[in-house]
Amino acid sequence: MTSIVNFEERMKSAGTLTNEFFDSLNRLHDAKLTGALKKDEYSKLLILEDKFFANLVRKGLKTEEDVQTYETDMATGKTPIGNYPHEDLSLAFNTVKQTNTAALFDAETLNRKTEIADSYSKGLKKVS
Amino acid sequence: MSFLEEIKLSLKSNPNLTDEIRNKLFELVVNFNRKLPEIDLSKLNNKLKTVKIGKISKFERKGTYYYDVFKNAILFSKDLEEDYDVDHLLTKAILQMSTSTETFTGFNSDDRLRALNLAYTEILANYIIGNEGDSDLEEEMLVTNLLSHIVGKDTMFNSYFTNNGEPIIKAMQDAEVGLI
Repeated sequence: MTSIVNFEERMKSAGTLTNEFFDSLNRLHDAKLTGALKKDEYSKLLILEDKFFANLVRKGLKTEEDVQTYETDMATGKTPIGNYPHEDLSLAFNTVKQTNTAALFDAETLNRKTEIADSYSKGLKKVS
Repeated sequence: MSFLEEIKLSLKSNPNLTDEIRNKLFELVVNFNRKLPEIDLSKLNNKLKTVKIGKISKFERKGTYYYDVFKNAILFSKDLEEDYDVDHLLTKAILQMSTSTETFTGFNSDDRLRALNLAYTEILANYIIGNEGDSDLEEEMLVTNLLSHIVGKDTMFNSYFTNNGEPIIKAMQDAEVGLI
């Protein structure tokens, strides 16, 4: 997937990635229910599947203070409504840096995910 | 008559429940109303008149807990262990009954937002009553929390209680378009 630069192509892509995101969340949930994923793989798969999603969040962060607050909230599992402590969250986010993705995805899926992650990384660079 | 008094009468009229369950549900509804006083209790009131509580085997359906919107039944796994907080699970049931239509609860009208809907219900239940037990939805809640930063807390909340997931979808799509 080449970089999308004109408005018509950007509008076409909108919705596709959103639907992919919700589909992947449903598949993760189902895989947990059926036991298809081992517990220690949940966080890895989730973070990788939603790498673009984390970048979407970063796009909304305008100042360094926003970024630090976001990082702290994610490390403590703070929800928009109340606190939900989850001591493994920071571990999950750190794990993605060391994870070998090839073990979790086939080549075609991995390529597609890499394309998605790369396209959003461009947005991340603009923000930071 | 206050709405909570009506709730109490509805529970009393339900032949499927024991007194112990009636008292527990009423206690939890009072707590729910205290935390979210703006939520209309009409749907919940109707559901409480006929709701059943039962068990389900892992062969029929996976998972610890399930609210069957078609049968208006709160189902717990036959293998439910002591590690789960029943007050938390029943509060989720109250949320789902409060947002039920004939075929779905919350904002999951076409199954597209199924996991998100379950996770958001879990988050709301955490807010209302907390959770002293285990949760099966930790990863889904992580994602839902992230998404709420993009979509907006009010959009999530209103979508849930008005049974309309389209504002969530639209907010995500709008966030995509401006990215590249």
